[in-house]
Amino acid sequence: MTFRRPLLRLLPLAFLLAAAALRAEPAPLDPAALPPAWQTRLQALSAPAALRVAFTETRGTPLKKKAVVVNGVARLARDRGLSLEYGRDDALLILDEQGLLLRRPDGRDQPAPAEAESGVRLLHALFTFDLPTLAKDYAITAEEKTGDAWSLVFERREGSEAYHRRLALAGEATRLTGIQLERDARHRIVIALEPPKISSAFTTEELARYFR
Amino acid sequence: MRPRHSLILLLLVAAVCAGWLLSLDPRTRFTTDVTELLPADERDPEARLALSLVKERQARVVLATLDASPGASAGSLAEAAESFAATLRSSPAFAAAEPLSDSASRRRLGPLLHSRRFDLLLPGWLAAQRAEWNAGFQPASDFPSWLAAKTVAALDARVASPEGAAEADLLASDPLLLLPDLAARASSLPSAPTAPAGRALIWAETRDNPLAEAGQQPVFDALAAATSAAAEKLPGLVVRDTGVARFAAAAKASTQTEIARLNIIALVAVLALTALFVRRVAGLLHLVPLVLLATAVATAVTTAIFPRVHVIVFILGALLCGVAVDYAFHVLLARRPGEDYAARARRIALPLLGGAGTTIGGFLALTFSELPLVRQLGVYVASGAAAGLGLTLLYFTLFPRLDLAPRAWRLPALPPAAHRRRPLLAALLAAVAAFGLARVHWHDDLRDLEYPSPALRAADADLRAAFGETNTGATYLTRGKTLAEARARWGAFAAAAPADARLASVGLLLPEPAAYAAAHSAESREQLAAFAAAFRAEADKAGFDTDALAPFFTDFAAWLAAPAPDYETLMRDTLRAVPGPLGLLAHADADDAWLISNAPRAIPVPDALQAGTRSLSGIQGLNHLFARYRAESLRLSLAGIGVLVVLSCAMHGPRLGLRIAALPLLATGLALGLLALRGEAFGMFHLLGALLGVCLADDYAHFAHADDGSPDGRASIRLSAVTTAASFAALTLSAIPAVAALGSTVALVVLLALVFVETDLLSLRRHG
Repeated sequence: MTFRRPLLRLLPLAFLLAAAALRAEPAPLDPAALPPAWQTRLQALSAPAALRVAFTETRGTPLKKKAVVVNGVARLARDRGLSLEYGRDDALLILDEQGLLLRRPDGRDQPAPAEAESGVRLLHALFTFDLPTLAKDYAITAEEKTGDAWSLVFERREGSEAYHRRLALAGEATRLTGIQLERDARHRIVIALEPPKISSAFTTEELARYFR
Repeated sequence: MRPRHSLILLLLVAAVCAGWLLSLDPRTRFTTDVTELLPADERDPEARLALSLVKERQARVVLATLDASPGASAGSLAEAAESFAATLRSSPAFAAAEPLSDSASRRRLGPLLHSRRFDLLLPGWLAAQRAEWNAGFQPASDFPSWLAAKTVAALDARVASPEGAAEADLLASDPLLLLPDLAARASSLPSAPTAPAGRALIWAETRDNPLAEAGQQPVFDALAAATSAAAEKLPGLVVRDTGVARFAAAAKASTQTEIARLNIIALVAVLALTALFVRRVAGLLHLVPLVLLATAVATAVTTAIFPRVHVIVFILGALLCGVAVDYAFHVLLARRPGEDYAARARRIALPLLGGAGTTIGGFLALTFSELPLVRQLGVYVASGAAAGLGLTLLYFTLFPRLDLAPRAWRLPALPPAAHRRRPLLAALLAAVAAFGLARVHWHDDLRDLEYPSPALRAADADLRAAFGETNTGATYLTRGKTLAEARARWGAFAAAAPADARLASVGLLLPEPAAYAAAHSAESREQLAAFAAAFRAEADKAGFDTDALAPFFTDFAAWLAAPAPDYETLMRDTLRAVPGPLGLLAHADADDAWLISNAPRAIPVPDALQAGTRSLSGIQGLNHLFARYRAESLRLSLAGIGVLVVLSCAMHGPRLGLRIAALPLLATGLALGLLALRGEAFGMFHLLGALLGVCLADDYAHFAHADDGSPDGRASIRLSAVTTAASFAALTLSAIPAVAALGSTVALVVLLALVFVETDLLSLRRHG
């Protein structure tokens, strides 16, 4: 039967269309009127008191023909902020309510310049899932994907002076799996997160070493 | 002398003094500057540094905080701060003013360093690379190729580092990592402080020295105008400021008040006590012109000799009230019925001249001091005492029959047994004096001369803390005839410092002169040109997009093609362009250049480097100088006492002369001994007080010896001692520690001398 062959050829396409039909379309998200599912998800995401997660950062830079790939460990303490450790001999990046701090291996702390304050404030809001703060500079789009996958995309609003033109968070259920920070086409950072290790608290030594 | 001639002479003296004093410009002839108490040509190097620092830019900094009322927006506060700074900049009193909270300095410093990165930073980078190359064995490649590979590796690591994510734009023009390396080394350099929400910080620099009049009131006026301008932008704004000018102005105002207050208290005390000893109180009005004239002569002579006189000399000169009236008491209370004025003057001439001569001689000895204050004080008191004596003798020729009608104070006579025990008692008192003097401990502090302003100091500390300034850490000053010499010396000091010393200096921004010369040598230029080509190839091989590095290649090629700027000119231009507080950490003029370094903890300066670098410890560091001046004052005071003893012996013969001299020496020794036993720490002004006390007590000893046994024989000593003690006791009310110390010492010496005269402890009286 000759008519059956074209149908067979269209079968994969039909499956794709069916799968697409099961996913929700990206939709604007108003932080002031969050749907219950998002409320639950964001609460769960910001719940852990102490979280340790390995990550792989793919850093697009105009200086290099290919993106630079680095690995590290992120630590998130609910009351203290975020700490990024790239390597034993590298500086730590600490992001908290006071701003961004570079802690050199010899213990010296160097805060980010004051002019970076607004950009740092938005990054802090991103890592603490503070959508109302982000919404002032970014239009937020939420997307539910197959299974428990989801994404939040933040597009810089017209007139905003935010450093990054686009931010994105991706996750599965109550776990964050990816972060994107995009300044322009050539400055783009993609961070893939491993499953986290969650504990009730960091030790005193960890708090002193990784946070301020 | 006939009364008419005396009057003409007195009027002439008054007219000359008034004319001279009125012709003086008080702003240029009188000073409240504490640094002028030290010799301008002081030989101590640290003192020279401190003296030059307070006259340079560092002392001209004014800091201000602007606090907005709750609810004010950050934007309106920033606008008010800019308006404040702009108003200051438009004032001729200010050379610079800028809000610090907006990182204006940093924004200007970054481009400055970037534009001169090859001139300032590449020489040091190249020297370090060459040292590493020389230390290793690199047969496989030449220096440019080795350097290119190493630089690309470092750049690769930097791009992958945490900082690299934010540095792509910078690294495109600085792949040698000159600026990131500087940032790492210079992270402890002072930067713009962070102001909390609701507060703006303003840093400003005045044009004139804050210790001069032009650096005070015009500055305060400009600050007031700036405050009004800022308040217009943001009502409810609270503005506070601090600077050396505030302290200098407060000290000046307080000192002027103090002069008036102490002189009035001393005068009132003298007049009140005199009224207890004489019946015709109205006659005391005759003392007023004498005191005024003696003070005017002393001031005129002092200002004629010294181009600038410190006002503290006049505070101490309050004592002239007591000294000047002494002679009047002696002349008036020596009056005998039927004796004319000329005979009376002849009769008391010897004790008068003896007393005045020792005072004048003792204080003239102080004019050999190297300390301007002590020299000025010596001239002031000596000329005041001489004028006081001369004017008194002249003045009373106009009133030869003036009788104050002294009250007879009969003190109970000592029993004969007590008379016999006087030598024993004198020996016992001398032992007490020696015991006390053996326990003297010295406390030399230049701040004893300052009028304390605790409220102003607390406000200043509070404001400076807001700007991130604290009193922790250590400060060093490296000096040279040129910036090249200063930088080379600083390099040696930094190299000798421990690795963890975190020595921060603006010297980090300047290349070593030797490295600068080496970087511009023909060989280096050739190697750097080869390096540029090798670096491009290495970068391409390592995956870099060399087109993205075009800003570097363009700038580097232009730098290599340009002639090398003169080191001294380039560095001076750079330091002049360095904005804000950082620019104050270096100085260069035609004769001198220096760099300031800071470290979180003290670093020993090796002996071999002491000639170039010294630790600065602020005004307290000058205290060792004060100790030296005190030791010198002690020598001069002892010389003055030697003069006194010699004069006494010359007038009365050795035996009596020594007995007469023993009275002031015992009174002074016992006074100092008692103060020492009380635990008082001694300084230079105790010594000056002791010298004055010796002179006054010697005066009484001469008159005690001249006592003819009449009922009024000791009345003049009594009145003189009591009034002198009162006027010096007034000085103990001074808030200036040095003045209070002088007052308490003299008052005690004089009172003890009076007791010794009344009890005739040293058997000086010819008529028992």
